Amino acid sequence: MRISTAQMYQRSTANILNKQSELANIQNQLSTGKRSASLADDPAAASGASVLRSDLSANGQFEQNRQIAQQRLSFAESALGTVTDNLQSARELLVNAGNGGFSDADRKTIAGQLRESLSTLIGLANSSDGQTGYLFGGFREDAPPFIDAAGSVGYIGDDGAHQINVSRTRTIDTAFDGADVFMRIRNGNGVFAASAAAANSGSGTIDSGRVTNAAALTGDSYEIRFQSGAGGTTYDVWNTTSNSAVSTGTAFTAPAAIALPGMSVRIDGAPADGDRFNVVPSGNQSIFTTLRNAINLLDTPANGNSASITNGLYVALTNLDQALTHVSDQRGAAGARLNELDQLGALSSARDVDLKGTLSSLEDIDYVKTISDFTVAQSGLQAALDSYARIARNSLFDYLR
Amino acid sequence: MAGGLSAIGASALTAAYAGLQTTGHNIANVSTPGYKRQQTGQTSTFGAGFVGNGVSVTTITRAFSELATGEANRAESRASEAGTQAAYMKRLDNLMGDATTGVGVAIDSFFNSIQALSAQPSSTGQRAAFLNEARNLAQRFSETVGEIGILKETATRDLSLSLNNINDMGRQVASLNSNIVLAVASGRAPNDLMDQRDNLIRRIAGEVSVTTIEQGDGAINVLVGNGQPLVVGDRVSTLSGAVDPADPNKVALILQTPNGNVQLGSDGTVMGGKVAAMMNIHNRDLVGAEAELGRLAIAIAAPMNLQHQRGIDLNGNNGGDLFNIPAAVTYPHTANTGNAAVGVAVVDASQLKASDYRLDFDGTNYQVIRLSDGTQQAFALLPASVDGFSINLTGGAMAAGDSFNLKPVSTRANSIAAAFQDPMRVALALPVAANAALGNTGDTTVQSLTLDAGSSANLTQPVRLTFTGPNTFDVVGTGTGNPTAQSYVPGTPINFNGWTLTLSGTPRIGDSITVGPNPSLAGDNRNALSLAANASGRIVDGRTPAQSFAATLATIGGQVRAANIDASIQGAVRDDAVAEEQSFSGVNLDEEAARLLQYQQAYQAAAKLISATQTIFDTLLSIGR
Repeated sequence: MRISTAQMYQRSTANILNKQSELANIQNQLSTGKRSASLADDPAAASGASVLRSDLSANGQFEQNRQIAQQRLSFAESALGTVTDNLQSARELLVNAGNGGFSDADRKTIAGQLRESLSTLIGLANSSDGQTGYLFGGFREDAPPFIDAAGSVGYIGDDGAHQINVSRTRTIDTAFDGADVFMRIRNGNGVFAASAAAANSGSGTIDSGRVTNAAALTGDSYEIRFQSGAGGTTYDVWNTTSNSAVSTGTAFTAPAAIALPGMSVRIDGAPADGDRFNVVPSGNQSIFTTLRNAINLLDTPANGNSASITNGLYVALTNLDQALTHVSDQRGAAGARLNELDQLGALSSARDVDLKGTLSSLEDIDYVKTISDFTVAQSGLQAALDSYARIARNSLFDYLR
Repeated sequence: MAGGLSAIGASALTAAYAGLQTTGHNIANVSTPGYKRQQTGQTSTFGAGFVGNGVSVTTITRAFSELATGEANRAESRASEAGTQAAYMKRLDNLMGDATTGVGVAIDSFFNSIQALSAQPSSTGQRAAFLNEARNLAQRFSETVGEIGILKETATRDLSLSLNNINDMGRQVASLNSNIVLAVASGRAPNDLMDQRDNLIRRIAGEVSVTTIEQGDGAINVLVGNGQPLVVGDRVSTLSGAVDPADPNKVALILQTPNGNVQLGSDGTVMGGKVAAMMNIHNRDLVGAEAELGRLAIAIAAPMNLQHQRGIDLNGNNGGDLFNIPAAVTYPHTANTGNAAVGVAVVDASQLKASDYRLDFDGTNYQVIRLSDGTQQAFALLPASVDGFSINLTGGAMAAGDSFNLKPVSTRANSIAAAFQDPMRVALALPVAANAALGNTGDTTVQSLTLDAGSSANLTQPVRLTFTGPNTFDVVGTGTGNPTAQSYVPGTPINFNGWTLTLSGTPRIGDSITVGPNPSLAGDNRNALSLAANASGRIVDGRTPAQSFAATLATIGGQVRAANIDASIQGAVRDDAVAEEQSFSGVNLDEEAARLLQYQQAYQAAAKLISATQTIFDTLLSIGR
């Protein structure tokens, strides 16, 4: 093939320029450490990297959300812990109050201590969430959720559950509905509540009872009515829901386990004629009411009727135990969620490392390979320059002298 | 007799001198672009009898291969088209691909800020931060589209420069044509004029692909596009840019020939060369990128607006739009004869495609053509729904043959903006709340309360559900019709007044649940969670916003890559074609050096011949002495 002189020079120059630009490109990669400076170099990698960066950025946000959730849940957990401590000490006070040797005045002192407990408890129930809201108020933020008015504590918060997205797929409840935590607590033993009528004059006491056969439970209310006469003490069991007798004239010998449909209660002491004991299905009673009732009980002079104190304390202790279990459950739930947050955090860190690794493999250069590419390109340029110089030197004109 | 020899010597001397001159001319033009080496054509002169009569220079020809030059012209067109395309695509690449300042980052920050806000709904700081990110996202969209607009302007300007060049060079070719015709007619070979003309045609071929037809008289006709005349003999046509009659966002070409105007349309593909590249960039790639961004913008903004409207803000007002989205536009074809006005409205933003559409009417049926891939759908009536938007006849009627350009997405990112900056107005709460009555003895709790699509007049009317048994409840409240003895199954949705309530647990007789106006506006983050859910929702034609943006990057990156590869291939093809042409036509100095030697020796020999004639003549004279 004929070669035109101009073409030869042009081609050689173009080749040298190409090699120089290739070298500059590799040098750019080496100095930035990044593989592609533009989308065009590797569209799939650039697009993949964009998704990864978005994932990483969302992960960072979820990390922050987890911290907020963690903070709220830790607050709640520690508040519930304090509530438990408080209820424990109230329980000890109640146990102490059962001391047979205590006078009305001694019990009044304990009532005073319980009053302290109650106000501490209301304070805890109105705990702030560390921002503008309350831990146990649902969505409501404009007023503390629990108000102590006219001797009873009301809930003005709502059922709103403050949820936080803590990962792409997991949303966690960070709030505890105050009504659930403090207000809606089963009284009695959780199935039914046993109590002595206020007008009882005998020394009969009733325990909190137990379920003997869950299948036989009726959900009806019952009353145990005592008669005491020459023939000894007997009792009738009435279903007050249907207003009919379940049994009548059963002889009483203390202590007696009295069987009701599916349930059993134990009555001790000597009930007087006309004394009554009630067994009703459990309802809800707030922690505050439980304490308030106990305070009222201890504030009221016993007038020598220790059975009313004993019965009242039984009821109060039973209810307090329910509250303790309930609050511990809630605290456990907070702990479980905190635990989950930790696990999510660990998972997320692992995922972060993963994502960064993948991102790096898409974006960053392989130094060994790139340096070797650089060397190859460098020798290429060297060869192009050398050969150009040699070819340019050859001309027939040089020989025509 | 000696006179004959002397004449032969003289002719040889002339021929050798002409050879030397031609070689010199070649050497002199070794670096002249488009120069084709010339050769002296010589032939032996026929004499009387058997003895020849010397040599005569017949012509000086250029080493011209029509095949090689034509091929090089075509290669030049393609290389120049691909090179221009690649150069422009690189700018689009820079615009879209910036990992730290691009739209993608703004989308991430925006959705992160709503996530952060959902965790702290009552924080004014987070509310303000969210609004900032919303504004930033809107700005990023409109700025990026603005940059694309600048690229379009640049392409338009470069196109008109290119057209001016073509027109100038066309005029020069025409004037060279007439000079060459004159020279040829007078029997001369205007080699250098022809070189100049070839050179001009090569440069025209770089701007727009050409077909050349050589006329018998030496003139060359230059045709562009589908055989439209740019130069015919000494007459020229003028190329100029115009607005596409079908879509004012596109440029079209018009060729003004001496016989009238020819519309060359907006499809640059037939034109070839830089012109094709700039028209394709402008009309296809940049318009396509605008459509992608517009679609992404509206696919994010529309569902966020809808969701935000369902919430209530800190002032207790219903949420308004988060983003002001510019309206979709339609353009009637300038040749429409009917008086119809056509509008488009987005129905379901998640189904939108990144494309413009054309609506044609043939007198009976409406044809909707998706311009990105040519998919067609026919409708007998309007309004009609296509790809998540509806087409409505807003006035008048279409005549047969009328058409409209529909832009449901293309212009939507242009002036998108955050609708407000007051943190109080971010609607993160829902207007209704459900609460279990405090006195409930059962363990029924509210699982969820969600709003149904659409609006309901009685949404916030207080409604009470009272359980009459573990499996039945009565309902009391305006708008519910107060039904009684409704069946209750835990977890089964209960619908009234535009809300859906899901309960769990077992109720006791007398338990009640109330649904009513939500008084807790600050702490309620339910609507915030719904807003945040769009981040991972498949709201952009089956993709999440981040995936959609990444797909756009991949598409554009792929286009840029293809353009780069095409540019380097076409560049190589062009180099080969030019090398082929040069191989035939170019000057090689070594060859010329050899020729120089050859003609020099011929010249010396011819001179020797004349001196020999002298000697012979002297010899003859000496005989007579």
